[in-house]
Amino acid sequence: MDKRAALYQQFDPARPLEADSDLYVDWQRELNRDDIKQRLANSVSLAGDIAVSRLLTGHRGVGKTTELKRVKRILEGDPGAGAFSIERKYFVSLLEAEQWLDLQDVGPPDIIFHIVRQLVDDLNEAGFGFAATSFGQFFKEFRDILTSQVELKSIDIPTDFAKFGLVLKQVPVARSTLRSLLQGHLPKIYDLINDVILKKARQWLKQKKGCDDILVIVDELDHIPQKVITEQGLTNHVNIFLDGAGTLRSLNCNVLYTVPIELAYSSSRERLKAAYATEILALPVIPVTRRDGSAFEDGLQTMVRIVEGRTAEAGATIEEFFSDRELLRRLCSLSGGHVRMLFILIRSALERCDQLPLTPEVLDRTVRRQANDISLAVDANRWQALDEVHRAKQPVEEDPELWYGLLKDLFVYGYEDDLGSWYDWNPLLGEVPEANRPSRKT
Amino acid sequence: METKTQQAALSIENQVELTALCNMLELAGGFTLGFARVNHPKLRARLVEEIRRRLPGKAINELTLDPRSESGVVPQLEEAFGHQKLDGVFLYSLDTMFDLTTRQSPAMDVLNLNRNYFGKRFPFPVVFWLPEFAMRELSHQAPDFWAWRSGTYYFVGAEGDAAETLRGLDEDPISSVTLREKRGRREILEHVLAELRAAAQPDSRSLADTYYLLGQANYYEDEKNAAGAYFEKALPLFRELEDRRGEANAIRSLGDVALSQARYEQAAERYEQALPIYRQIGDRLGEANAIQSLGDVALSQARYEQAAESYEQALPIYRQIGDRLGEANAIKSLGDVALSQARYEQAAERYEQALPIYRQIGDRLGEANAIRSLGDVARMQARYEQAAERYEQALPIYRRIGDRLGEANAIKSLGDVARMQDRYEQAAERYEQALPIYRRIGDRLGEANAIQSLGDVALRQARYEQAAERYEQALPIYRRIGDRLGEANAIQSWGDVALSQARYEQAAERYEQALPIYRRIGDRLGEANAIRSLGDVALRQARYEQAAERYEQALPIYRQIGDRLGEANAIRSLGDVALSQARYEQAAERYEQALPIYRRIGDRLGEANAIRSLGDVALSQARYEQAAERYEQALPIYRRIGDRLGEANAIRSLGDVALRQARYEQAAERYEQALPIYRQIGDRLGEANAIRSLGDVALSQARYEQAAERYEQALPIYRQIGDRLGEANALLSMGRLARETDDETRMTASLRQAESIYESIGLKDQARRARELGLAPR
Repeated sequence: MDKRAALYQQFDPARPLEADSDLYVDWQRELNRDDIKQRLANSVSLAGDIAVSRLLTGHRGVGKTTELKRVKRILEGDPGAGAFSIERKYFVSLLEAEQWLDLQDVGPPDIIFHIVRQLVDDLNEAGFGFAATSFGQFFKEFRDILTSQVELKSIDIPTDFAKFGLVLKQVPVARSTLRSLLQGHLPKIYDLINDVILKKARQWLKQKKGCDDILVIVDELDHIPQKVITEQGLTNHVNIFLDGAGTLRSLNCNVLYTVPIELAYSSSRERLKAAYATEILALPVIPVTRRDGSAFEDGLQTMVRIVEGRTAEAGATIEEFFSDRELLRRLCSLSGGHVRMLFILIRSALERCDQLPLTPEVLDRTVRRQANDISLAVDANRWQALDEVHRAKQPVEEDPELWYGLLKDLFVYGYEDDLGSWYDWNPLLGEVPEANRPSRKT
Repeated sequence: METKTQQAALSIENQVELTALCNMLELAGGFTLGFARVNHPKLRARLVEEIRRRLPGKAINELTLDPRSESGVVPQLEEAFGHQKLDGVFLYSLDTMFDLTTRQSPAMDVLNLNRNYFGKRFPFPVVFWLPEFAMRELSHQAPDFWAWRSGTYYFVGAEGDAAETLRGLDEDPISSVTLREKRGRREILEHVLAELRAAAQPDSRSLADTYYLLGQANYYEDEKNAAGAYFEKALPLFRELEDRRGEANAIRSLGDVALSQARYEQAAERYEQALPIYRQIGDRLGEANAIQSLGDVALSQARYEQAAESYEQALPIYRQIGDRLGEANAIKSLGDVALSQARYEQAAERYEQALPIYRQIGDRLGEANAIRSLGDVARMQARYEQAAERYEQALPIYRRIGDRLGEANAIKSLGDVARMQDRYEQAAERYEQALPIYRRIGDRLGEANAIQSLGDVALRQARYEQAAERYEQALPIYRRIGDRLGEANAIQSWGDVALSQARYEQAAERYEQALPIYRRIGDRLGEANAIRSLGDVALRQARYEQAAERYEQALPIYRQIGDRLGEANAIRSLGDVALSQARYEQAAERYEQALPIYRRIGDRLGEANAIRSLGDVALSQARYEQAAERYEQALPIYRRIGDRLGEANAIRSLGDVALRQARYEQAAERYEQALPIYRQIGDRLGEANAIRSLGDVALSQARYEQAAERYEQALPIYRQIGDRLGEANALLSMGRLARETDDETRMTASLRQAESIYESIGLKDQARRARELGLAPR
C-alpha cells in the first residue's frame, strides 16, 4: 500500500484504541500526572467490600474509552496493564452504552436493565450457569409478559437473555413497553440481582476465578445528547443522572459511570457528587502549553510519540512524513493536546498534499481550513467569551449555559497542573483571522 | 488543451479543494466521513462530474435524502445501497432534514448516536454535500458525528452559480413555504451574498435580487429590522439597473416593514411612493396591492373611513384583472374595518361575501380566516354560542391544511368564548389544548398568550397560586421574545393576583414595575390601567387620599385615548373611594356619572356593576328598599349577559340587605342560592364569602353551632387561596362568635390572629377594631 494511504488509515479519528494496543502511550505516567487509571482503580479497590459508584468525565475524543479499557485490565489483575498493582482482583463488565441503548431516549431503568444484561452476559461467558438460578426463571416470566403485549406480538423475542437486549435496541416499540414493565418490576429485579445473583456470582467468582468483587463500567453515557425537557429548563441529563441517582445506585455492586462533561461542570456538579458520594474524576487533555502560554515540552513530546508510534505502524518514518520535525511539533501544539483533533489535522494535511513529506505550505492550508471549520459554530457572543478564556485561563462565570456549551463543543479544553484546573481555548481558534469572525449583531 | 478548457470552469480554489476530496476518496481504506460545502446545486453537479472524470474507476453512488421519508439517514442509505461494495457515497439534501426553528433536529440525533453502526455498516467514504449553514448546524447539533470527520472541502460559487441559485429560490414565493424552509433559504441566501460580495466585480443584478430575497426571507421570519436593511440595499441597485418593478417592489416592501413596526406615517409614505411607479409601468396587481396596503395602514391607525376608501378602491382593480384572491382579501378587509367600527352587521355581511370566493378559488386558509372572523363578530355581539360554532367550523379546516397557527388560534378563541361565559373549566381546557400546538410550531407569543390566559382563568376562579404560577411562566417568554407589552401585562396580572390575595405590598411592587414598561412602549391604556391598579391597592389598604389621587391621574389618560370603558371604570373607582370614606353623596354621584357611559358604549357588565354599586351606597345608608331595588335591577342584566359571577354577587348582596333587615330566612336563602353558582364557576373566594355570610346569619339567629361550622368551613378556603383579608374577616367573625358564647380563650386567640393579619396587610382601622372588640365589655 502507498505510504500516504497507510498513514491516512492509521490516523483515523473515528477509531478508539483497544486497551492492549502497542500504540497506547501512557502519557499520564510519562508526565508524572495523577494517573486517572490509578485514581479510578484505587477509588474502587480501596473501598473494600462496600459497593461504590464512581463518575468519570472528560472531553469527547481525549481517550476516555481507551483509559477505561486500561482500568478494566488493571482491576482484572492483568500485570501488563499498569505500573502499579492492585491488591484486589475484580470481575469487570464493560457496557458500551451506544451499542445497546438508544441514547436519544434513555432512562435510568433502561440503563440498569442493560447493566444487568451485560453482567449476565459476561458471567455466562465466564462459565457461570444462569439457567439453574432463579434469574433464569425470572427472565422466562418476564419474557412471557413481554410476548403477551399486543404491540410486541409481531416481534420474535429470543429466549436467550443476551440476544434479548439487541431486540430492544432495534424495536422502538419494545423499548417503551419494556420501560413501563420495568417500572413495575424494578424492585423485584433489584432484589433478585442483589440478593440472589450477585451473592451467588461472588461466591462462584471467588472460588473459580479468584475475584474479590464485581465492577460494571458503563461507558459512553457521556454521549447522551443534552435536551431541555421541561418549561423550567430541566435537562434530560439532570433527570437521568441526578433524579435517577437512586435507580442508578440501586445495584449492590461497584459501578463506574461516564457522565457528560457539560453536566459534570454544570451548577449541578456538587449535587451530583453528593448523590453518588464520590468525586467526579476528569480525564484532562494532554497539556502542550503551560498556564502562561509557553510551550510544555514534555506534553509535546508525548504527542509526538503518539504520532511516531502510528507512523511506524504505517511503515513510515517521521522524516518521510514531515519535511521538518518542527512541523509535527506545530501540529501537536495546535491540537491543544486533544488526540482526535491531532488526527483530524493530520488526515486533512494528507489530503492536501500530492506527495510526502508534508510541507509547511500544505500545513498552512490545512490549519486555515481546520480553523475555519472550528469557527463555524462560534458566534460573536462565544468569541467574546473565548477571548476572555484565552486571556484569563478561567471559566466564564457569568453565563453558565455558554460555558457548558464551550466545553461540550470542544472550543475550550480543560487542563490540570499543580495549581489545579485551568482552561484555554482550542488553539486553532487563534488561527482564525479577525476578518472571519462574525460581527456583533446590534 | 481539452482538459484545460474543462478545468477553466472551476476556479483555482475549487480545484485545490477538489483535489483534496479526490485524495480522500483514494486514501481512505474504510469508513471515512467528509463534508463538502457548496451553496449552489449547479456547481455541485459540475464538481461531481469532475470527480467522476478524475476517478473513472471508482464506484461512487449518489443519494438525495428525502426529508419527508419516515426513516432517518441510515435506513435511507440502507435501502438505497443494500450491501453493495462501493468506493464512496455522495449524500445530498441533508440540510432539508434540519429543523432550524428548533435547536434539535431528530435527524441529527440519529446521526449522533448511530455513528458506530454507520462506520461499520458503510466501510467506505461517505461525503455529505451541504450548504454552509447546514454544515454549521451539523457541527452544532451533531458534535459527536462531526468530530469523526476526516475532511471538509469548501467550494465557492461563481457569479453564474449565484444567479442560477437565485432563480431557483424565486420560483416558489417565500410566504408559501414552511418556517423551517424559510430559515434554510435565508441561510443559503446569506452565503450567496457573501460569495457575491467577495467577487471582484459583483453582478448588480444578482446582488439586487439577493438583497430583495433576503429582505423577504427576513420579513417572513419576523426579523423586520434586518428585512428593512436589505430592502434599503436592494433599492438603489434596482434604480441603477432601471428595473422599475424591482424598485416599486422594494419600496412597497419597505412600507410593509414600516407597517409591521407601527411606523404608520413612513409606511403610508412608501406605499404612496410605490403606487405611481406601478401605475406608470402598468402593473395593475402591484397598484392594487399598494392601495390595499394603504388601507391596512389606515386601519391600523383607526382611520376607518380612509381604510374603507382604499379597500373600495383596490377592490375593482382586483376584479378587473381577475385576481380573485386579492378581491376576497379586499372584501375581508372591509369586513375588518366594519368590525373595528363595531358595525357588526356589515362586518358579517362582508365576511359572508368573501367566504364563497375563498371557497371557489380553493384558498382554504382564507376560508378558515373568514369563518373565524365571523366568529369574532359573534363574540363581539356577545352571541357566544354562534361564535363558538364558527370557531368550531374553522378549526377542522386549519387542521386539514396543516395550518397549526390557525388551529391554535381557533382553539384559543374557543377558550376565550368559554371564559366570557364564565365556563372556566372549559376555557382552561381549550387553552391547555392550544398551548402544545403553539409550542410545537415555535410560536412563542401564542404560547405566552395561552399561558397568560390560563392564568386569567385561574385568577377568575380565585386559584391564586396557579394563576401566579402561570403568569410567572409567561413572563420570561414575553421577555425572551422581546414582547414588552406581554411582559408588562403578565407583571400587571401577577400584581392582580397579589391584590386578590391581599398581599398589597407585592401588588403595588408589581404595578410599579409594569408602569414604566407601559410608559416606555407608549401604551397609554396599559399605563392608565397600572395607575388605576395602584389606586386599587391604596383603596384596599384604606389609603383613600392616595387612591383618589391615582384614579384622578388615570382618568385623563383614559379620556385622552378615548377609552370610554377605562374612563367609566376610573369614575366608578372614585365612587368606591367615596363610598369607603362614607361620603355617600359623592359616591352616588360618581356611580351615576359612570352609568350612562357604560350604557352608551354598551358595556352591560359595567352597567350592572355601577347599578350594584349604587345599591351598595343605599345599603351603607341603610336605605334598604332602594338597595334591594338596585340589586334586583342589576341581577337580570348579569343573567342576560351570562355573567355568573356578577349574578352570584348580586344575589349575595340581596342576602346582605335581608340580613341587615333581620329577615334572616330570606338572607340565608339568598346566600344558599349564590353558593352553588360560585362553586360551579369555581370562584373559591365567592364561595368562602357566601359561607361566611351564612355563618353571620346563623350567628344573628344565635344558632351558634351552625355559625361555628360555617366559619370553620370558610376559613381554610381563604387560607388555601391565600386571601389574607378574607382570612382575617373570618377570624374576626369567629372572635365575635366566641364573644357571644363567652369563650374567652377562643375569642382572644381569634381576634389576636385577625388583628395581626389586618396589621400585616396594612389595614390599621380594622386591626384597631379587632383589638377593641376584644377589650369591650359584653
